[in-house]
Amino acid sequence: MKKLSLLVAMVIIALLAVFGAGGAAAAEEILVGNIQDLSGPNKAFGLATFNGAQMYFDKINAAGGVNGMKLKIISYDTKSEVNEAISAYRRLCDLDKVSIVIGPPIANMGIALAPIAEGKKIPIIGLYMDERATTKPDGKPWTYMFLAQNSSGAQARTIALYAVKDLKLKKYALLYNQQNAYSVSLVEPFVAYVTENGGTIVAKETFMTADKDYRAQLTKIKQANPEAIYMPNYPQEIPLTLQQSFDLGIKATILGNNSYIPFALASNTDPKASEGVYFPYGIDPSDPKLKEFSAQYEKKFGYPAITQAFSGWDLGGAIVEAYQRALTASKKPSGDGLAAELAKTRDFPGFQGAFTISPKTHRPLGLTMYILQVKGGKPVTLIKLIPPEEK
Amino acid sequence: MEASQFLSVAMQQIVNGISLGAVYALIAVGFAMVFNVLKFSNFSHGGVLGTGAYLGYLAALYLKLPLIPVLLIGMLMGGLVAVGVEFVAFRSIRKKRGQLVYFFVTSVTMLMLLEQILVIFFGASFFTYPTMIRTTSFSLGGINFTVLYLVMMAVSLLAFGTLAWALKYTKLGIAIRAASNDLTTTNLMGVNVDFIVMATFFVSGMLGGLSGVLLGMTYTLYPQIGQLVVKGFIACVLGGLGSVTGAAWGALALAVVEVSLIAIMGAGLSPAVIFAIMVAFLLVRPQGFAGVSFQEKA
Amino acid sequence: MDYIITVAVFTAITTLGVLGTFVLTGLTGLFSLGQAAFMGLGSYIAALAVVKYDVPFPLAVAMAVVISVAVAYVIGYTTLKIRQDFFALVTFGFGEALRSIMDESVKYTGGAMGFSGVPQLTTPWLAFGSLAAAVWLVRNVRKSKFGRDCLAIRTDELAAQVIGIDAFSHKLKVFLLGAGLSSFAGALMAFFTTYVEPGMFGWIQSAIWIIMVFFGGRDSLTGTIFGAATLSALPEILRFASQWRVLIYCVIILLIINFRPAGLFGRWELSLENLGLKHRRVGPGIPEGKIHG
Repeated sequence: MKKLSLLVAMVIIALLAVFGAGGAAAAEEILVGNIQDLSGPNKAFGLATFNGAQMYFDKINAAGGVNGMKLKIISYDTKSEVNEAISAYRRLCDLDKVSIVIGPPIANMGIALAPIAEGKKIPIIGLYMDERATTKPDGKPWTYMFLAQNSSGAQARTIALYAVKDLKLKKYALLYNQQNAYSVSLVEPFVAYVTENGGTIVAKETFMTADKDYRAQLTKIKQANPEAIYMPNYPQEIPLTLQQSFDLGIKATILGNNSYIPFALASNTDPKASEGVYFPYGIDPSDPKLKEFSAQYEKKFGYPAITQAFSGWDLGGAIVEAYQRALTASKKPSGDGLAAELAKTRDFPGFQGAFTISPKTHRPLGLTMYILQVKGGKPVTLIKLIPPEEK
Repeated sequence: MEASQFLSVAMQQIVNGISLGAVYALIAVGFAMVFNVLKFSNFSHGGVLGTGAYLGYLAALYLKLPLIPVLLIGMLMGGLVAVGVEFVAFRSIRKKRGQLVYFFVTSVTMLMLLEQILVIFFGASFFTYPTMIRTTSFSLGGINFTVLYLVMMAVSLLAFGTLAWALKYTKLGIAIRAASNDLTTTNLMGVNVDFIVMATFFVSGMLGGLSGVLLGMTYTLYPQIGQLVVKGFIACVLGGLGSVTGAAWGALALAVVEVSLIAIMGAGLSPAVIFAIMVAFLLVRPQGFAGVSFQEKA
Repeated sequence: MDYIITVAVFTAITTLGVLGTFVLTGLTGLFSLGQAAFMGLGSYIAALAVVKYDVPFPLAVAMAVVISVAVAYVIGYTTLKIRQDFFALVTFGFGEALRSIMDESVKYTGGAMGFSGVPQLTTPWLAFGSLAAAVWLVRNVRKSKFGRDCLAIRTDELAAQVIGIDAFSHKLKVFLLGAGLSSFAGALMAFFTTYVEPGMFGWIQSAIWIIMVFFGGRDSLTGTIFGAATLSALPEILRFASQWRVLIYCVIILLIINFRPAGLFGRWELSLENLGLKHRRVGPGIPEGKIHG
């Protein structure tokens, strides 16, 4: 009998906790959900996205908010697990009743959320670069999914363009995590561009997320004698791939992805191992126009701003502008209304350039990219490029 | 591909395999020690490994100590944590003569607990050990050697040598071997079993802490680093549960097989192949390389 | 409301999966670090059947279970003769092998990126109904002669064999039952979360299931259900305390193992007699009392 009443008591407490946790918005608030890796090896990007958006919202709130309503972010930590992201999204929609969600810069999560967003009808705008998070296999866009930085294809084609046209490299090898949608989504367009433009892939090696030792794969790559190795990987893998490649005496040019800041830089990687590495990046860190934001950001958060922070700002801007436009049609904009307005984002003056979203793909159009190189453990900006179009 | 090129690549892969084997062997031997005495698979060894790694990192980063003191600190901390784990988690089960499965469940729980403590104190992201070795690699006869791996091999050999000597010639070592053979009889002979068990855990913990620091330096430091204990588990089983040298050989074999599989067919399907090999191996030779065959009594 | 139902259904399906571990570990004392892999297998087969081959949902689920049980037969037949520690290792290897196959088959299954867009066909009724049916099934198996023989094997295999119980065949059947339950749960899960990925089915997940069984008590079906339900719903409820939550959960397990190794519920089962609502029939039967093991 005692056990039963204990059980009942626990159930009641549990239900109270769950019920008590959700809440309706105060009358003058716009609730924005935030699904990010706030802890874990990829938290640098999640935090950057969130911080960038938050800074934009702070600016708008300081000036009175959107039609007098303040923007408030409700955040959930996804802890690098896709199921957490799904769960968090459901919670944001059903319990917290947010109008719109800031999504994660994690491809696996974006892809998983897309069909669920179709059902819940609350739009998500995030930095998941993989095209499958924003468009369906038949090419039509997912109604409620939007991307606020250059897609994987655009980024991969950018570095491929530089390698083929500027560095004039012909023989390429690949080393990437086959379990990671992000890496895979960068490799495929890279290979497509390179092979269409006269290059060849002489070696393709993969590893799994749990692996930390890639020397067997790198030895095979070395044997194939490539001129360049493309290694578009996640934070924890970057220092390891660079160090092990260096230790094996591999002399090929190394090409990376936009996670190379900060993970290929000094303090994360031995400068000898990262010397000369090239990678694409959404912004030019040495651009004086970005200095003010960077200084404010670093002062507020204690660490420097990386490209995802700038994209986060642009993302925040897109949300605010879409909400403002939606308000002209209805006092409490619906998910459908907001999604429609997000698709009409045009020339928002963002850090990444004139930020416009294509209604056909829900991805940005015509954003520029930069090629950077690591010298002495620090990034140096080389050139600005326009990503080649998708074929 | 010409023969000489093939040979040099094969040699490099063999060097890769052997150095990876040193890594696994260090984990396996620490794991095997507890198995021998208490007859269960102590997964909490992974937690000890992780804790040693993080504490060593703190020593390297804040106290700015060079390599050898950092290793020693890792060892000491590992030993202490292991003894703590024994006291908190396993002692009462042993006293009550609990079934093996309780040890197993507790050890997995301790692994998760220690991992979570590391997450709470250090965050869930990863750290890079400060560089403590100036030259990271060199080339000899067309083969590249990574200094850190050579250090690991040297340390492993030193550790085994010392362990083997101690087990054979010191009083404590003999007592541990007696306990591995038969805990109850050893108790009846007047030996303080509690002390023996504690000593076993301490030594096992030292090896764990040592492997932790070396692994952290080689593969970056992250809270889940303890999960590499699984390699030690596999190595022990392959080498023959009940034999410390067997565990070391098992580790070497596992590493070489892993590297070979990757070299031949890529990383993708190697777990599947390793699984098939493991099953075949266990069916044919269940006592492993060096273990003793015996019927399990419940 | 929607959200709470979601949590409840998720918990119910997980509990059904854990029942697979319960029969294996509770009835025969084996522990498998690959039980979650059967759930994964069930998920993938059912999802592939419906999404790629337009197989009707009930048939897909049936296929998932049948194929998983067949795989379990092959694994079990070859490995159940090996001693216990090895069995854990082999099931671990099986789980990892399965995961790597899932990862590699990118063209069919989306590989590590997972398989999304699975239609949501599992209704709450289906989930709760299945759980109820499974509980009924397991309860009857335990009470039958087969179940009691298994318990004998668990307590002392050598002795059981001496009195004529075929340990190997019993263990194999239990292994198949466990695989069937877990794979069925997996099929339901895929059509509930609408997303399947290889990472959800690793050895840590299997170890957690074993812990859930021990938490509730491996001799108590009620206990296991309670343990599984609580420990899977808890992460949602304790969302705010997430870092400490895992810590608390580990400490609870340690306390249970040390002070109440039989699990929270011991051997207590939810039944009308135990609730005091029905008079216990006195007569021939197994005497109550402490039995070791």
